[in-house]
Formats: sequence, structure tokens, C-alpha cells
Amino acid sequence: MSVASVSRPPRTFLPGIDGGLARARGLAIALTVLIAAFSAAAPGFATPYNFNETLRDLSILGMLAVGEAFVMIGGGIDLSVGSVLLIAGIVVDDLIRLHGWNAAAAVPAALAVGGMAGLINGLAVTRLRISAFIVTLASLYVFRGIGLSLYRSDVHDLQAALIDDDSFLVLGQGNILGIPISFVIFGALVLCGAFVLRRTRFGVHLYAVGGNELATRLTRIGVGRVQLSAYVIGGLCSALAGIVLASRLQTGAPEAGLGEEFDVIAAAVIGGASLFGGRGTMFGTFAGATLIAVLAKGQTLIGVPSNYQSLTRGVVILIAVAFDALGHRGAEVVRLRGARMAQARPAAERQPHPAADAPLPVTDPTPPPALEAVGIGKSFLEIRAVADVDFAVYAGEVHAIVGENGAGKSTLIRMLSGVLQPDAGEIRIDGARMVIDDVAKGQQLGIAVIHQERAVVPELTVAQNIMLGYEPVTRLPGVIDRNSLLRKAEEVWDRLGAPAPIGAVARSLGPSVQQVIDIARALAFQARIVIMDEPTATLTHQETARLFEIIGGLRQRGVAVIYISHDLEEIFEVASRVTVLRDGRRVGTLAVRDVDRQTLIRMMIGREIDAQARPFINEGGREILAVRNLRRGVTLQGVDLTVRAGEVVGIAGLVGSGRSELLRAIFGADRRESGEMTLYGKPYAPASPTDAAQAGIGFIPEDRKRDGLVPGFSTSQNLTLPSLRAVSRWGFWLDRKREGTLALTMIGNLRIEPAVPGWLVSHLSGGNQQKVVLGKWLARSPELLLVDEPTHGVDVGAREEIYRVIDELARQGAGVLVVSSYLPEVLRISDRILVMRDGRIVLEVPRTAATEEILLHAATQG
Amino acid sequence: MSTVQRPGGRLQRGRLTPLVFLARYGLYVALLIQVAAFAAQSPNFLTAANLLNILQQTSTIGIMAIGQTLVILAGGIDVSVGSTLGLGGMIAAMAIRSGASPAIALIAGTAAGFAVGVVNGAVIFGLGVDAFITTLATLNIGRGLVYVLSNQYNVNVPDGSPFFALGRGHIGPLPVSVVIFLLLFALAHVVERHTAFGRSVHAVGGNRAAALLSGLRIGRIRLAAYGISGACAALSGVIIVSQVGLAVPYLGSGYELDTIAAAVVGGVALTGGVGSVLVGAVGSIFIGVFLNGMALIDVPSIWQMVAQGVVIISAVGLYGAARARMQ
Amino acid sequence: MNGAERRMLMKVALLTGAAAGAQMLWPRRASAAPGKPIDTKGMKVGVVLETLSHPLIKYWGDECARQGAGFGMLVSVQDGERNVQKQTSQVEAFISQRVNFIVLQATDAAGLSPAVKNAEQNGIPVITLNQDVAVRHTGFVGMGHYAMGVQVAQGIAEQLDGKGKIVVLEGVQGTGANIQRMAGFNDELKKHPGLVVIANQSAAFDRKKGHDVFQTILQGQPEINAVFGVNDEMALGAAQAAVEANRRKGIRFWGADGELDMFKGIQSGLVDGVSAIAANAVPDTVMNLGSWLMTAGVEGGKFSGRVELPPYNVTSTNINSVPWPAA
Repeated sequence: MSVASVSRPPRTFLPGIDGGLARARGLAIALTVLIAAFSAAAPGFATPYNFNETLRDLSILGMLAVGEAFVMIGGGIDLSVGSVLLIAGIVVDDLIRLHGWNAAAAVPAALAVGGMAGLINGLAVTRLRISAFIVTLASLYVFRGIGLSLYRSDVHDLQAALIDDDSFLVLGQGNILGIPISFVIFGALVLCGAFVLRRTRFGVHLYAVGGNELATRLTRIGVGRVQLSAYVIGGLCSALAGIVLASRLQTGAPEAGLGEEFDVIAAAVIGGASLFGGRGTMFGTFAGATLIAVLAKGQTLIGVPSNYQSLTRGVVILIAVAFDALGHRGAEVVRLRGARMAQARPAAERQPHPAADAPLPVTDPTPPPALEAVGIGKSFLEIRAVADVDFAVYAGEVHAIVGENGAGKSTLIRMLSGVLQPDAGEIRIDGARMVIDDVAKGQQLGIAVIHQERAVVPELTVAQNIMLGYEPVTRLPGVIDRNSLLRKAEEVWDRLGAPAPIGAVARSLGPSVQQVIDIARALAFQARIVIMDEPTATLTHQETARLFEIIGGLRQRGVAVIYISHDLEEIFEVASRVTVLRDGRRVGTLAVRDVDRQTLIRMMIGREIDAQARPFINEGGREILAVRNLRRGVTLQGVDLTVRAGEVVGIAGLVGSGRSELLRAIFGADRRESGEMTLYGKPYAPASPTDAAQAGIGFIPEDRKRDGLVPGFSTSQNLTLPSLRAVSRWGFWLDRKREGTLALTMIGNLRIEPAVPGWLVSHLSGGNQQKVVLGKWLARSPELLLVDEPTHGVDVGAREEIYRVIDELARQGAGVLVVSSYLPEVLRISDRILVMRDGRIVLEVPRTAATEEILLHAATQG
Repeated sequence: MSTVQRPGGRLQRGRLTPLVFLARYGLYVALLIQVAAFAAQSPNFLTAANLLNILQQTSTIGIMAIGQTLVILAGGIDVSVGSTLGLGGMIAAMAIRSGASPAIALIAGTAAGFAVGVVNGAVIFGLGVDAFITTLATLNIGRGLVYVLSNQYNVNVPDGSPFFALGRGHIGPLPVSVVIFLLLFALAHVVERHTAFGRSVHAVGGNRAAALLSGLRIGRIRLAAYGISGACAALSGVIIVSQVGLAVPYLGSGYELDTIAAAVVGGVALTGGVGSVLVGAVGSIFIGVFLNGMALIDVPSIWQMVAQGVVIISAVGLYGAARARMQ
Repeated sequence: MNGAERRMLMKVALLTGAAAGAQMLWPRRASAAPGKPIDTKGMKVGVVLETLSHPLIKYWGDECARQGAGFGMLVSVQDGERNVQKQTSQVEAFISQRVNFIVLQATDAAGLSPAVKNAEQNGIPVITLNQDVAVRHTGFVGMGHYAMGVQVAQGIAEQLDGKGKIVVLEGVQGTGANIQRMAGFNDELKKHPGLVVIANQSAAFDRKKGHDVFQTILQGQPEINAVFGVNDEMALGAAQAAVEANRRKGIRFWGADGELDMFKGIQSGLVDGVSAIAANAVPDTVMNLGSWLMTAGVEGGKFSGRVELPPYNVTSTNINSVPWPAA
């Protein structure tokens, strides 16, 4: 029997290939090799004259690349650099030659023209929200046309076409100590650029804008303004290059800059900039431009025809970008590896944290709670996510919020932090009513949220991340006062235990340290209320202990901490009070020491088992699916299960126990590392969902909007998507009638509203959308259906429908594997229930023997 | 712009505000306005001869735009079509020179383009490299290949060769190139609307994750899209060579931007999943009408360049604003 | 900046300084012994042409190489891609290689001047061909673009008897060839007030574009007496369009360059005239001049001379008596 192991080993790429230093080293090596090769093979290469000339060539390309790098770091792209070069050259030529301006006046004027061009580009991208690619593509045409129209020349007097202002010519033609002045200008530009990128607020913000969207949202950085400035800088750099070129050629050449944009982007990318944004350095760009300039020069000297050089250029670009993409992914792998190393803490090592024993805050009316929500509620369409919740947290208190998935925790948090506005009720800070319009306002009021995702800009250091958006400046406007920044950051960082050197680049740190950075940032802007959302999800034992110490420290300084977690054990360790939410309502708030696990659990689920539970329990027929020892990283640690024909197997467990990953692995959507699966006894090893679907398996993903439906399609088009072959004649010609029949059948069976096949699926309610996702697989009469959260965000009526359908399906002999966080649901529809925890199945019970308590117990490692 | 096919019945909620109307039909309205404006400026615009000319002049870019639209619909982009066109044309010319029949030349050229497209798709999908940069690299490599192949010489089509029938012949009143364009467009349109492949392309572009999890072979689909784009470009090249009678090494330089412009003006969203081959083709006709009209009323070429840029921006801005509102 | 980068910066600075110092010590070329003829065997010649994508110019390049080989010289021919920066870079590269003399067909008179000045200052004679530059240099072999434009205008005036409507198809905007030829044409036209330019469009030196643009113009202009395609390619394309539209009769088609296809066209009656450079004369003159300079030991900056090769019009009257280009 063949081992159904994964088809490809997990990829490991050279870690650090995206690291600045490694790249610089690699480039230096490549350059040295090239120079050596050319010196040997290309006559005239190793001469001082050629060196001088190569520097001149390099300077032009390099100045363009510097501008491009700025734009790319901010997440954009600029295709019009060649045209701006052209316009600036022609303008400066015009002014000096035809209008007799002084060079000292003409150069700034031409620069200003470049800046304006950049401004136009930037405005179109940031204000009109048009893709940068299109904007700069159009401006490439427009600017070139305008530039050409400005060009004047007199064919009879060739001399007159030359600029003879010596003070201007020295820019492009002069030497200083034997080095071309244009190179000096370029070098100065690089140094200035490096200064701006590292030492000014703008530079730091630029990396943030390109590197981590969440970070910019959380801090008060004006994304539009930063990007706009980047484009203006790009325009200025291109103009500078055009001016220097005009000086070198002694004229404004009308066909200059044609086709430069590709070389420029290549130079920037080779130097470390990424099309994804947020990366790149001035020195890297310098190196990249040098590589391309040397390559071009060397090939010309060897005598390679110019157009064959296209081949080399293309290959070089491809290699550079392939490395960029692979390195990007490699970094992701490394980072995730780090996260996966985090093991959950074994139960025995937990002990109550001193914080839990702290006395309750005095219930004296003064002082009022730091943050209080009174009667707040929020509805989405027809679903009430939060209804009439009262919640208060005091200074110096750690107040936990618990509840099952869908209980309303995240909605509550979003309202408290300003992301959402409540439909009802009010929020009070220190007793005074406040309206928190947006995140920035929330920050001003002293509210900080530590999200599950890290809001850390990968290319910036710890200190820079901590002070993001609040960097102290020197007397020079915009220039960061490094000492002050370091001092302030260190202050906070040390308080939190300084888990990494403060000068370390965030990219290289593990998620737990990055989380501490998030917390440090909150402290740095003096948050008084810190909300932590599932903070320990990716932490190791020691890291969690450290986090708790930090929280203890926060408490002592009077910070109010709201702590959300699925891990009940943690609550007992770190919190002093706990509020239980269920179905959007507050069930109760108790002091932690007055309550025990059982009580909490009962409060969380508190409902009678539905009498309408599935009456007919199927012992199951033949085995459909068998899974043995399925492993994937740390999320799946050896899962065994079977599903038989006609039975519904429910999988309960907390978020993060690996249930979704299990389903995805079975469906072939994620790679498995080891383990075997069989379908009807035969080896089953899907390389992709296509294999799984062909084998008769269907999959309802957890997030239907992201993974389940094509937004621009109609109901019928989504319903028929996995069955295209079936509704086609001869295997490829869509048969409208068959399509219609299939769609109408599903619509009827599932009672999808409105019952119009052509209705745009994005305009359906959540419940109906879910039915569509269900329907698309039901249409294939699957042998095995994998369902992840069947009624997430679905109203009550639709829920019943869906249960009925699952029931039907099982009755007809299929096997159903259902993952659900909603315990009543699991008990309602399953024949057999498995509980997953930390990547393993820890409990298997027939439904008759299961209660919610037992399940929750097993899920939370009671 | 206009979303995928609409089986009968009411489609979506939402009032037909002016903005929505503009997004859906704006292209045709603009086309009409343009035609009317040019007709007003010149009595010779709306003649049968000129209209046929427009079709003929547009047919080569139009054929390329069909392939490009397919790629963009599937969520990618193909910047290499300019040199693929040159490659196809050069190979066809060289084939004719060495005595091959026109049919062989046509097939050889088109097949070469298809091969380039498949390489593109393989690198993009297999290595996960960004589509823009990959096809940018292929653009350069392809152009270099053309020069290597031709040794920088022009390759002439021998006088009187039956090959000329492709570019200069007529079928009835229509030039062959126009017939090919219309046929290809019809074929593409039918494939897009009526085949599983066409539906899959839209699905992959509309939501790749959902398409993957619905069991579609997204790798193969994208590969096919890029292959078709390459083949279309090469076919255009063969037709051009047959029209003018020679293959120059720089054949097709710069055409890639024209195809993207055509798609964009037609309302195809660069993010994928929005638009159709129909609007892509109409977009290329829009630009063709634009260029023809400009030449007819003798607008200086420099200003044509500027105007083209403005048109592209306006189109994209308009569609973007309308789509944003419709959310 | 951190330590590693500081070190790299220092290395770069050191390297630059060392090279700079070395350059200041770079010896100038030693002067030849006076009076003795020098053997040209083994000498190196750098040829930078405007573009190699033009068959005539490519022919010049090949011929220069061949003739140079006849003198025992090693000739390297580079394609300037009609780009000032590229040409400058190539001239500078030849200077680095200390070639014996440089032949340059400048794409921009002013823009290449600094490079030419550098060469001369470094002792390397520069022979410009076809396009003069704005600084003093050793040799100019001219059959200037300006003169061609004048000639075409004269030819048209003769054929039309000084009266008629002319359509002009210009090349790539901003290139030297285009500017010069148009200037000559327009200046000469002033002398014939009966000749009027009724339309002027750019066709990018391309045959297909020339065909398409003129096809459109035909629709817009019921009466056309002559067409000036600023290069042969465009003229040929335009003539083709006229044939297809059945308007060949009554229009005189003129080009400029002297390509083989153009000659064939004049013979077959497709086109009516061209201002041509004797195809062989140019490389002949250039290489002989160069060889003479070398044998006489002339260095850069020492001598300045001009050879004006007369362009001449080729029409059906003399098509059979003038030498034809080889390719």
C-alpha cells in the first residue's frame, strides 16, 4: 500500500536572501565577478577612461532608480520616469539656450517641472484611486507628447543647438578630482535618500505604508500624503537625471528616456525593492543600478549588438525577480516555522498567576471605570451580533471576556476600539460619554488594541516600530531625533523585559517578540486601556509567561486590560474578573476567584440540548474515508479518523485546534506532510482539490466570501461551478438547459431566496449564500461532504434548512464530516462526535453519550 | 465592466443610477459620441470605405486584445505580446522564404507564440513570480530572440507569393484580416460565454481561492490563457508581415501597451474577473476609431499621443469610480 | 547606516579614488613619427550607426566592415537604436578601447557633440557620416538629410509643375533624420508657392503604419497630388494603400533613403521618386577617407575636412542607369 505522503517536501529557501545584508553581499559578489570577466574579455573595459564613462552612465540610471525606489517602497510603481527625464531635459535646454536663463535659475525650474509631473501621478493614484500601473502608463504617453511639443531646433545652425553655459555643462561633463560630477551628484542623492529613509518621519512612514497596512491603520499615518510625496520625489529624481543628461549631451535630446523604465525598475528590484512594497534601500538601489550599467557597458565593449543585450537584460530581470519572489516566500516560511514551533503549554505547568489574586477594584462610584460600554448593540443585516451589553473595566484591572465563536466578542472589541460604530447604547471613558469615530480617535482616548495579526512593519527596527507615528523630531522639521526616539523606546522596551535588541529589524523576530512590540507601542503612546485579542495563540510556554508578567506590570501602572481568550486556563491565571458572552448578550460578570471552570462553561453554553436533535442515529455503513496519522507542521499532529456511509461525524474543538486545517488537508487544499488516507479502502492522496472533487468529495469552507463564492457570478453560475463538465455537452459546451435545471433544482431543494438563478450572489443574505455554497456540492451528489462551520453568520431560519439538508444527505448514504464551534449544533446534527485539541483527536463519543460539558471539557483540556 | 452573462430574469438589486448606467454602457455611449464628433468634423468619416478601413487597421491590435483580455480576465497580465508578435511574424517570414507553404508559415508562427505564452504561464504559476515582471522579462528575451533569429536583417516575402492572400486578400468586401478578427472574436466570445473553459476563466479571475476550492484546475486554465494570448499575438504578427510584405526585427515594439489600453478602455479590470472579450474587442475598436479620426482630421501626431493618455486615464477613472459606488 | 554598509561605502570610495587617480595619469597616445606612411594592418575601427534596423544602413555597416577588412582593419559595427544615450555610450566605449578612428552616424547633431569632442581630444579622429555634429571634428561625409529633403521637394515640384496638394508622412517625432529632412523639404517648398501641404501625420518610419495612416488620409482627402514619405518604408506603405484603394493614379509617391525595395518600386511603377544616396558611395568614401587618414598618421583634433556626396533623385527616367543598392 503506497504511502500517501505529501508529493513535495516543504520548501526551504535560503533564509535571509531577502535580508538586506545578504543581498548586498550577493550583489557585491556578482559585480566583482562581472567586472573581472569583462576586464578579461572586453577590450578597453579596465581603463580609467571607461571607468569614468561607466560612472556617468550609471549616474543617470541611478538617479532614476532612486526615485523609482522611493515610489516602490511606498507600494507603488512609476512607468513614466523616462518621459519625465525627457521633459526636464527639454525644459532646461529651452530655458538656457533659447531664453537665456542662468543655469542657477533654469535647473530649479526644470526640477519643479519634474516635481509637478510626480504630483500629477501621485494625485491620480492616491485621490482618484486609479492603479499606479495605469496612471503612470498614461502619463508616459502624455508627458512624452508634451515634452516633444516643447522641443525646438534649428537645423541650419547646429551650433545653436548646443548649450554653452559652462556652469551648466559642468554638471554632466565635468570632473572633480577625476570623478565625474554627475556621479558625485548621484552619490549625494543616494546619501540624501538614505538619510530621508532612515532618519526622517517621512521615511519611516513610507516603509510602514508599503510594508504593513494594519500598522498604518493603527497609527495615525496619512497614507495618501505619504504616497503622494513618494511620487513627487520620484518626479524630482527623474527631472534631476534629465537635467544632468542634458548637460552631458549639451542639449535636450528629444528621444531620451525611451524604454528606460524597464531598466530602472530592474535596478530597483535587483537592489531589494519589491513590487509588494515596503522594502528597498538606497544602497541596494545603487548596487542594482551599478550592475545593470556595468552589464550594458561590458556587453557593448565586447561587441554584443545592442539588441541582443535585450536577451541578457531580460534574463537578469527574471533571475532577480525570481529570487525576490522566492525569498519573500522563504521569509514567510521561516517566520511561520518560528510560529509553529510554539507548543501549547502542558496543563501541568500552569499555575495561577499572582495577578489573579489581586483584590477587586473598589466598587465605590469614584473613580469611574476606565472604559465602560452601556447597553451597546450592533446588527449586521438581519443578524444581531451584539445586543444590550454592559461592560466595564477599571484601571489596574485585567478583565477577561469569554464566549464561543459567534458570541459577539470580536464585534464588541471593534466597537470599543473605534472600528465599528454601535447601533445602540453608548461608550464611556472615565465616566464621560464618548463617540469613538475611528481608530485614531480611540487612540487619542488612550485605547490600544493588540490584534492577533502583528501590526509590525517588517523593515523597521524595534525602536522605530514602537514609536511609529509618534516619532520625536529635532528642530529640523521631519528629522527624527534618534537619541530621543531610542530613549523613549528603550524605556518602554525595558519595562517589558527587552526580549530582543532594540536595534533589531522586526522582520527577523519571531511573532511573540513582535507581539511585545505591539504592546510596547501601546505603552509608548500612553494607552490606558489595552485590549488583547487572543494574544497567546502563537506563543510558547515561556513567551506566555513573559506576556503575563508584562500584563502584571501593566496592571500595576494602572492600565486597564481587556483580555479575550478561548483558553479558560489562562483566564484563571491572569484575569481578576471575567464576562461571559453568549449569542451576543452578556450572561454575567464574575470575579475570577468566585468561579470555576464548570460554571464558566455552563454559562458559555447554557442552553438545553435541542429536543429536535437528529432522531435517527446511523451506525454507519461501509467505511468511506479513513485517515491515519495525518500530520502537517504543528497544526495537525497525527489525526486518525474514519467516516462511514450514512453517518454525520461532528468535530468540536476550540479555534486553533486544527479542525479547518484537517478538512483542507483531506480536500487536498493544503499539503500534508505525512500520514495516509484511504477512500473506500483504496489509497487516497489528492494533490489538489481537483482530485478530491473528482473522487466525489465536496468542501464547504469556513469563509464563504473569501473561499466559497465568486462575487461577480450569479447564483446559478456559482451553483454550477464544480459541475461544469456535468452541465456541458461533449464535455465543454455549456448546456444552458442543464445548467438551469441544476440551478433550479438546488434553489428549490435548499429554498434559496430569491429563487432567481440570475441573481448576483453578492446580493444574497448570508444564509442564502451559505446555501449556495452547499448547493454547489450537493449538485454533484458527493459521497463525502466536508463542512467547516455550516451556519456561521447564518440566520435561524436558514440554519434549520441547512441541518435538514445535511441530514438528507446522510440519509441518502453519503458521509458528512462537520466542523463546528457551536456545540449545540454539533450535538444536533452528529451521529458521532470527535473533539480536536492541539492538532489531535482527543475524544470520540457517540452522540447519545455526549453533552456540551463533556465536549467543552475535552476541548479545553480539562 | 458588464459582469458575466445574464441568464434571463432580473439581475441585481440597485437602482440604475447614472453612474451605474455609465459603467455598464458608457463604452458604447462614448463610442457613439466619438463617431458623431468625427462625423461632424469630416464628411468622409462615416463612409463604408472608411469604416472598413477602421476595421482593417484595428484588426491586428484587436486580435491581440482578444488574447490579452482573456489573460486579464483570468487575473493576470501579458506585457510580452509585442515581441511575441514580432517572433511570430519573423518565423512566418523565414518559413516562407525557405519555401514553406503559407499554411505552414501561419501555423509555425502561431505555434511559436503559443509556446512563448505557455512559458509565461509556467513561470508565473510554477514559480509564483509576479505576472507583470515575468512577461516584462519575456518581452526582452523575445525581442532578443527575434534579432538573433533574423540576424538583424529584414526578411522579405517573395513577390507574388500566395502568402499575401492572408494580409492583402479579400473575402467579399472584407479584407481577410478583418474576417479573421471577426471570426476569432466570435470564437472567443462563444468560448467565453458558452464553454466550461470560459466560465472557468471568469471564476479564476473573480476569486482564485473559490475557484481552486471548487475543484477547478486553475494552473491549467491560466496556462491556457497565456498560451492563447501568445498565439493571438503571433497570429497578428503573421498577418502584418503578410500585409506589408516583410518582417522587420523591431516588428511589434510597443504594441503591448496598445493591447492593454484597449482592454482597459473597454472596462476590463486589471484585477481580474470583470469584463469580457466583447468589451475588450470594442475597446480596441474604440481606440482604432480614435486613431483613424485623428488622422482623418489631421490632428498633429504629438497631440494624439497626449490625447491617448488622457483617454486611458479617463476611462479607468470613470470605471473605477462607478464600480466603487456600486459596492 | 550600519557597519557593513559603511565598509562597503568605503570600498566604493577607495575604488573610485584609485581609478580617478589612475585616469589622471593616463598617457595620451604617442604621436607618430613624422613623414612615414603607417601600416593600417591590425588597426581598430569603431562604427556607430543610427540604427541597424534599416536595410540601407545595415548595408553600410556591412560594407564598412568589408572594406575595412580589405585594409586589414578590424571593424566593429554598433547599432545606435536611434538613441542618443546609447550612441554616446558606444562612442565612449570605443574611446576606452583606443580605436584608431571612429565612424559615427549621429542620431542627434547636438547630443553627440560632447562625445565626438571627447574622442578628438583623446586623439581619435571621428568621421561623421550623413549627419554632421556641432563641434569641430576630423571628417564629415555628407549626404545630408537636409539635402535629401530639398531634393525631394525639387523632384515633386518638377513632376507636378510647381502646383499641387501634398501629403507628408513624418517619421518618429524628434529624431534627427526626421527633423533635418522636413526642414530641407519645407525650406525648398517655400520657393514653390503653388505646392501646398494638406495633411501631415506621423507614421513612425514604419511601412505598416504608413499604409494604415495613408489609407485613412485617402478617405479624408479627395484630391491628393503627391505624397512625401520621409523614409522609403512609409512611402512604400502609403503607395500600397493607394493601390488597394484604387487611387494610385494621379498621386506621385516620393521617399528618401534609396532602399532596394524603393528602387524596385520605381521600376515597377509603384512609386515615383526617391532622393537617394549612392548606396556604395558612402561606405566607400568613409573607409577610404579613414584609411588615408590613418596612413598619413592624422590624429584627432589635427584636421578637419568635409566631403559632400551629392544626393540625387531617382525616378523612372533614370532608374535603369543609376547603380542599385545591393540590399
